[in-house]
Amino acid sequence: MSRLSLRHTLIAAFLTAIGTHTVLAQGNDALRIVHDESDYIIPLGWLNGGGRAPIELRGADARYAMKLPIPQRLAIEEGKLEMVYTNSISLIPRSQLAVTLNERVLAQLPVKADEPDHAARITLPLEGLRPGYRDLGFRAAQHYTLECEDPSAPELYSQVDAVQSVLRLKVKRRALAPSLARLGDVFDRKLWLDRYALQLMVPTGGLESHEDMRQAAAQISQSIANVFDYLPVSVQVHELRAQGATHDPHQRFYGVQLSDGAWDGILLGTRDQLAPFLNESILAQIKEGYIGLFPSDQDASRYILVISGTTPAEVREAATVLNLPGIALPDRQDISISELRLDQGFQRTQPAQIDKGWISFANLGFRTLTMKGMYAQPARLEFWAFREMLDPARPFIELQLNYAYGAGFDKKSALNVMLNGNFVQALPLQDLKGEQIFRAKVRIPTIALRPGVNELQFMPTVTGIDLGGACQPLFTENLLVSIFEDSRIELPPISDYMRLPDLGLFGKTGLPYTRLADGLGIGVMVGDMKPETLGSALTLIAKLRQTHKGPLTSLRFLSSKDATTGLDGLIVVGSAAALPEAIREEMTAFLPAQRWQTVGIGTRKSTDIKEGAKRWLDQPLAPFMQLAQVNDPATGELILSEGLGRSAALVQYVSKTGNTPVTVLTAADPTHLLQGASRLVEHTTWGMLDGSALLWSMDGEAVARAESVHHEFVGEAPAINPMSYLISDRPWQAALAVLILIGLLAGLAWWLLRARARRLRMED
Amino acid sequence: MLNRLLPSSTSLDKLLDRRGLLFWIAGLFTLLWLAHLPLTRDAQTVMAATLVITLFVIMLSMDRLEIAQARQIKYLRLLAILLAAFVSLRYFSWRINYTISYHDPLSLIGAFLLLGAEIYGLGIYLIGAYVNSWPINRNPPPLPEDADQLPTVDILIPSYNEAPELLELTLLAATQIDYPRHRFKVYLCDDGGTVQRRNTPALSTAAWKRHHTLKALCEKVGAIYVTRERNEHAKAGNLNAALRDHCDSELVLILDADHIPTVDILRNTVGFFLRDPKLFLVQTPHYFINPDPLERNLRTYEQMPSENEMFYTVIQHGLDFWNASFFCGSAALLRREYLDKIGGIAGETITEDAETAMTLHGLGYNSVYYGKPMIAGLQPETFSGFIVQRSRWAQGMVQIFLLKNPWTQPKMNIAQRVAYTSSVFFWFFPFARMVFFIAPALYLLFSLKIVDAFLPWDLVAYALPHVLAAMILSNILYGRTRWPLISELYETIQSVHALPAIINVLRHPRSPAFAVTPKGERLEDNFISQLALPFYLMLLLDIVCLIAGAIRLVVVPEDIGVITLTMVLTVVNMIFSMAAIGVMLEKSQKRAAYRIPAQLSDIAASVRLDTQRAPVRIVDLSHAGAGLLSTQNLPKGETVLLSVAIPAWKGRQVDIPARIVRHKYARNHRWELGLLFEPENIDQQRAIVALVYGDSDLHQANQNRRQRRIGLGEGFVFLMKTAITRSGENFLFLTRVFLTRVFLHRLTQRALSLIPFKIKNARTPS
Repeated sequence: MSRLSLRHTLIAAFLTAIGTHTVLAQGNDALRIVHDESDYIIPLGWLNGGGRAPIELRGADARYAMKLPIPQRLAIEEGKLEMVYTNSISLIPRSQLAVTLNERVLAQLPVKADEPDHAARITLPLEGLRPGYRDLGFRAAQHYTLECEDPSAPELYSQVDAVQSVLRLKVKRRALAPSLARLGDVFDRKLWLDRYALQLMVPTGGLESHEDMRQAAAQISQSIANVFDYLPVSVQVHELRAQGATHDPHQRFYGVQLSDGAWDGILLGTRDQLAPFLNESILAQIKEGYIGLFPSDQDASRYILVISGTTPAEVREAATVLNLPGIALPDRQDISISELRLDQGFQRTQPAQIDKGWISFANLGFRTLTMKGMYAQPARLEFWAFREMLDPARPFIELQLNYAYGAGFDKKSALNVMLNGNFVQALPLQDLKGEQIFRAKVRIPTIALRPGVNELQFMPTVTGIDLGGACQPLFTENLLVSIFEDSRIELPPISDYMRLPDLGLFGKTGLPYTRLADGLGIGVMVGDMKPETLGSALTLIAKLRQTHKGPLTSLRFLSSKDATTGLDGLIVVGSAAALPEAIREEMTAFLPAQRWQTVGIGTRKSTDIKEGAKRWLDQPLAPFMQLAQVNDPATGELILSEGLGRSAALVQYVSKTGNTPVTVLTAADPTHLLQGASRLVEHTTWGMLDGSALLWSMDGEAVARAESVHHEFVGEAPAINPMSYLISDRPWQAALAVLILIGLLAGLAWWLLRARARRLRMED
Repeated sequence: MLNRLLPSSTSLDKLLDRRGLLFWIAGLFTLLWLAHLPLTRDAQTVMAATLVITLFVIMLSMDRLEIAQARQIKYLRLLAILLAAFVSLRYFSWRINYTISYHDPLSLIGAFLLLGAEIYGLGIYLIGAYVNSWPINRNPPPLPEDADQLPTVDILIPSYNEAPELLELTLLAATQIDYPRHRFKVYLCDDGGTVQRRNTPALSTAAWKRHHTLKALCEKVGAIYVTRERNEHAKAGNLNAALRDHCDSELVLILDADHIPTVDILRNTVGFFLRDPKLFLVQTPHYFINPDPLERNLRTYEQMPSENEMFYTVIQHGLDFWNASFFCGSAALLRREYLDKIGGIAGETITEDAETAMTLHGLGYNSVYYGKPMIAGLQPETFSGFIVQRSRWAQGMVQIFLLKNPWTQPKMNIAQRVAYTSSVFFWFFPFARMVFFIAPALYLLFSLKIVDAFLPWDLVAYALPHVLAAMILSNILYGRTRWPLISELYETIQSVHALPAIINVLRHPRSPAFAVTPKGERLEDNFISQLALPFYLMLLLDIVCLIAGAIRLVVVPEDIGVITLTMVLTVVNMIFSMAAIGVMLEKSQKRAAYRIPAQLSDIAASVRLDTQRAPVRIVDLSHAGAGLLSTQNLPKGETVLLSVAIPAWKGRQVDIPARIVRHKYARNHRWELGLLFEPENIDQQRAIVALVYGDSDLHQANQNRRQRRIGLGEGFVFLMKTAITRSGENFLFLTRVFLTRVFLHRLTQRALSLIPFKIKNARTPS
């Protein structure tokens, strides 16, 4: 990467920081499980996606069910539900609230109008708490009169407090037969965790020795992250030191200790590297790429997954196997990998465009959704768009919606399409028999699109023809509207042409690093080989896997000494002092001792003749001097000498070398780097990614977010010429230029034709 | 390729020309690239508006500049062509890229049909602009003093069924052309009295009569009567037989039977052949002294330039620059030697004239166009005759396209090929016109989505500037000779009947037969043309479309943009339909002789009655008589002598006997007198012919009199008023006929019912 002058970098930083604003601090508000080795206290809201909102039971017959995951590894010895609930004071004693487990009523709770707030403790039968996903539910039969009543009357409600209501579970860890076929029970999404700490144990220097070893670490981190889906996974690298003491032949592992907080661990290394740490019998099995699952010597209910091979390449191969989706492993404790053949550089896991120019909703992450009732939550679709990817001659992009609705809709019903909160178009739902509509056209005005992420909402406002009333039940079961995922929108794929920097795009899709589905051409570079730094990088790679939802099997894991030429994208992880010099020169914000931040603090007037002339062409009747007055931003520029302190930063920019997008994760030191990475991958922080830089503290509060005014475009431009935009932006000047060109052409034609006439002695 | 475009010159000139051409081509490609760039609607509106306004300013300046014969005209013409072409190309870039999409098979077919018609129009418009980019005006080269150095000329007048009275005028004029008498001969080539016809029992009486009459006529006037054995290959065969069997001069002047030449026709054309040994043709304009059926029935003859004037006053001058002006069948002088090289007048197609010219151009010979009108001819009287003529031209040109394509001729340069392509391809217009006519109906009646336009403003940003630019350019290039929308009117009217003829030729290229255009007919009464029915149906379709559009506006108001556009197009179609219906009412034409205005010539004349001599001003002339303005009232019925200085005879004074048949007080102590000529001998007949038809300056002045440019709005209003008025006449006529027949029928029925006894087999008149 070339050196840039300080002035240029300052200007770049200035441009980056224009529009800098501080995001309101948001506390890390998600519900968490409280537990120790054998006791778990799980708030009901945790089963509801971590939300604190109470569980509402409305109407005469209300039901609500949540999935209760029961992992295979935990034998439940006792389970109690401690419920705090409130009922409406309008309810008559005939009303009741029942608790169900797997549809079976466990308890029927009284409802008293004069005592609306209640608590109850319900013992859960153990036979209903078998491993798997169980349904814990509530049923409310609510009445306000013994005679005819409106079943939808608003006073018919009960609420279950999702925070104070908890499940208390006493468990015992179960040792499972170590089988690769049951790897999913070991690394189990059903475990009651707020985050998964992956303990990756490697021999000292093991990852530093060879890139294939680092690749292996990256692959295994990804595979674990994939198992845990949305659950944040942080990777902790433990370097093992060989102990010279005599080895107990009954032990499998020597000097390999799982930390107390970890469930399980992964041991990664070549056979030779792992020789000091493994039993001879296990070592003897390692003849090629090797995967083996063994109970820990400390605790048979915890496991160590051994990934090894005779060479670093075999180790990487073995780790990659686990990262592949849908691989079936046999009911064995270990396997050897003879050969793994992988295609490389494939662009997408599925076609981005189903027809030329169209992207299906499915490819944008939308799944078919049915919205029920009169007050259903709208369906949402996010997509990226910016001016330069769209045809300037078209004032609309088209959306073709496939949807269906039920019978008995009142003719006032409609499916409203909103773009970024603004109403765009309504689709009437007027056929009494219901309908399936294929490719209903909706026009999205391009003027209403925001650069970057845009959100479409499909909001049904529906009523049935049956309006209910006294003794007339309000029938709303028919109010169903489905939006199908094969609907499509007319956009070029964002992965083909991106406007960077855009951390929002990175956070939602992994782009620009996931443009090729296997990550070919992408490098993750660490500033040093400290375990914390390596762990931070692996944590970020794991999150990338979860975001991308596909294995990045070709991603490279580089040290700071490795060359970066030829890479299409680079992610750099390192403490501020350990960042390579080339990165430090180009990094646009939050770099101690070089450039921290430039903020706009106001405006000041100055005279710019050139700008005035440009404006005058658009407004020839306006006074020239008035047009020449420009507002320059007044700025404050800050350079901090000390480091990031307890903050971590994620900064994205486009390197001048090869137009490569670079994303840098940094902190003051490796310890804070690892803490920052762990915090970054949590939902609250990761969900705030946007703009070109993010700064956050260890408790997860986003301190600042910067938006760059100047953007670069990466990828293959759609077939829209930049000249189109230039002319569109300066129409009068362009018209004048065309007029001049045509005038010159006409003059040349006149000269040529006159010459011909004279040459042929044509009278004139 | 460059050499073909730019024939020989000095090395430096060549180098500069080549470089200039390369720069120009580079500039053109830059312009094409700019034309295809997608822009926001606002940017497109700004750009289009700027260019259209520039065009408009040029259009407003043209009259003033043409009158002043300013040097800037040629540059401004080129500027206008490029501006309009750019605006149109931007429209087509948008049209092709953004307005065609698949909805259903029928809509797609309709969309491609309409697009194809528009692209055809664009092609013709661009090629036409290229052809007319540098029109030239030539001056006749002087002739040598020594008559024996002048080339000999055979004047051929082919005839088939024209009246002897008409032929007499042409022969008289031809035999008194101002050229050494021993250097030219006049031949009447009679195909109506061939041996074959004289021997055919059904035809022999008439054929023999014609044979004798015309033979005597030729002897009387000093022409040579020739005929042939058989009627083969129509006019071309007739001429070739005469050339082969009788003619031996160096040059051949061909005149149609009704094309009366002026005295100076040879003096103004022969000199070109002396200057250029490779010249094979000098073509001169066809000038007509009577209105064509459209002009007559719409009553536009006195105000509006004739339809043919655009071709002869503008386009042929443009073709001449590219050495591509072609033989039009008459009023043309050809070199016999080159005709012989190709076996005479070509006969593979039924437009033998254009075919002959293309063949000779294809051999590398040159042509010249001299734009002074030196013949006075007659247009077809009836719409049927007009359609016969135009269908023949259309079929012939399509035959040329199919059988003798300009791009296959060996020695033509590219400019000539393009020029011929323009001339030939023009005649496919019926296809485009019909598509334009039915296109609104496809949407309004059948909901076919043949154009996708996102917003009405897209049409304003792209389509409106294109239409305006095309109309303004047409006005700039041809405005003095063709008023706005008149081309479209003529094309619409011809399309209905020409289309089947063209389709027939496409299927059977060698099938069309030469049909002689009837000339000089007299129409005793008004009547509705037998070809009228399609136009009534077209109007009915337009009305139905408008009703459908109105319903759509109520039912589907969100489509207001497309509905409004198609309804506007329907209204335009309706105006054309109504104008066509106005044409279908054939107005009576009882004149034996058409009058030629003569005021502009200021001919010195007086009328002598006994001893009384009254100076008169000649208002108009025909071979039958004259209209005069006199300061004295002369009694009706009196025989007088019209003393007139004949301009064609360099002012020689001649006395012509005449009788006053009309007199009327005009104003300001002036009297309008109508004279009927009563020549007593052939010399007086010759004098009359020379007076009426001999002066090319008079034809020129009359032609210029009607040539004026009007604005687009004025043109539209003119057309609309004409269409409404004349179609109203048609419907009134129909109503009268209908009521008359119904009334007569009832009257007859009533009369019959009063008769006390029945008459056997009595028939009521229908």
